[in-house]
Amino acid sequence: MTGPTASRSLPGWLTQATSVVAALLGIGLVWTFVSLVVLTPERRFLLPPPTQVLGTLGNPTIMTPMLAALGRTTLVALVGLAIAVVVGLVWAVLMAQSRWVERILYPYAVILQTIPILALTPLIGIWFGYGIPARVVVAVIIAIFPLISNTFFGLTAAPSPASHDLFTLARASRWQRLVKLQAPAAVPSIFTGLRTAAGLSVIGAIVGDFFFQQGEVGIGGLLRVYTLRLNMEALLTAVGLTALFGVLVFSVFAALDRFVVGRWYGR
Amino acid sequence: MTPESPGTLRLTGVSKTFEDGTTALTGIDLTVAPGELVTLVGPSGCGKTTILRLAAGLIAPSEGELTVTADTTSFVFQDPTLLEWRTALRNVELVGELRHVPRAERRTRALEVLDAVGLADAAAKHPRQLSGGMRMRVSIARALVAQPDLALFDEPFGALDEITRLSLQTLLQDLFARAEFGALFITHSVNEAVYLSDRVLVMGQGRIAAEVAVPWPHPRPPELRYSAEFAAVAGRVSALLEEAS
Repeated sequence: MTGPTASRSLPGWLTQATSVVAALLGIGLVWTFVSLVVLTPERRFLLPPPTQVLGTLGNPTIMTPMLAALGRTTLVALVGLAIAVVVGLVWAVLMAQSRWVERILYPYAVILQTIPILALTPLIGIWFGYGIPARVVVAVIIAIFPLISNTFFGLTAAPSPASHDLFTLARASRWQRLVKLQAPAAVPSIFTGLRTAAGLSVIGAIVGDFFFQQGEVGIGGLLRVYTLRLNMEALLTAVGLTALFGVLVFSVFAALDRFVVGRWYGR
Repeated sequence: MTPESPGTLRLTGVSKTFEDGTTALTGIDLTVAPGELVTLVGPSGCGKTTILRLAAGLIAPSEGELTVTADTTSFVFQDPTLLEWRTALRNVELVGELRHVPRAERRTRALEVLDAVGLADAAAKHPRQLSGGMRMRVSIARALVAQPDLALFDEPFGALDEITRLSLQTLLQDLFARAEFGALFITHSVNEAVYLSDRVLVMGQGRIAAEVAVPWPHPRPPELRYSAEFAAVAGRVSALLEEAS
């Protein structure tokens, strides 16, 4: 006889989907209540009801430029993420090679993380112009720290001392130790960094859109325009789309993590 | 000085004091001859693992002379220390890979050794898919695939359940009887020490306090562990261990 718990419980994805839908319905209900009951008709423009906002999805005059702008922001985020991955991994590998390299490079990683991006925007503008390259730079700066810190942690702390002894006894070279022990052991940490960095690169691209508006507009630029015009339906739709995009990017890397690392650790 | 045969380990007056001032070993004299399995028993912190790490060349003695005459030394850790991203077969192949042994040669040898430890069917499995006992068998296979002259075992069966432990003792016995290598084995278990070894060295507080010769030739039948003669030798080791502690 099969266990009653197993036969009655829902699959994991269905449980998760149900909770997401339930949460969305809850938000929709509260939103509708605030819009239609709490706000007076004169002030309802501050939070239009969900039906009115969803209505913009069928309006090509709003949606065509919005999707084109989202596409540009996506490109900026992905290019920024790719650069952050390459630079972040190389940075972490160099730091993992010796204590003195770590002492030299680590403070710069911390500085990148702690300086408010607002303080850097004038410099970025002067050095990279006020168009798409500057937006990519912002995305890189915002996304890179989790990649450096997680990769460095994985390379130095993940392999056990006994595994290092095993490689020492086999007279492994520094390169063999890096490629066959430290790097594979660091993969779970690298993916943790990647998931965080992916979300941050989207934020970075939108922040870049805000500050650097030369050239074709990104979703961040449109958010600014909608805010200035008090076009709340379009603004809320754009916010919803960017949130969805952020979740999508995060989910793609989470799925990739499960596919690669799950085979080793049974996740 | 006469040249030693491969598989010889000799420590003469070896002491070890760590950088923090802790003295782990004092005046250790110990020899493992080729084809001999010597066991170190003693309470935790008495310096057993330090002797093993010295023999492996992972640390250097503070005083005394240490001679290892072996082309290849293998080490079996307390934890199986398998690389989770590699299959059992690729874990066994690792040392050959690091030493640039040609792929076909190291694969054939790894499959042979996996077969010898009873894991031919688990070659394609990742460590997480193996039980604790199977993981330790892979670890032993990885040590033996290099065809060592000297094998060092750091309490490899300590974390296993009793049944698995007994079966691995029998396996190691068989492998040892077939392969000619010297071995130094650390354990907390007196019965394990007596069943496996030719000599049991009893340690206490950084010194070798006593030595007990074990009379039976290898391979030893598992039933030996339940005989009166075995109990007598184990009892003697236990009494010496109590004195040394």
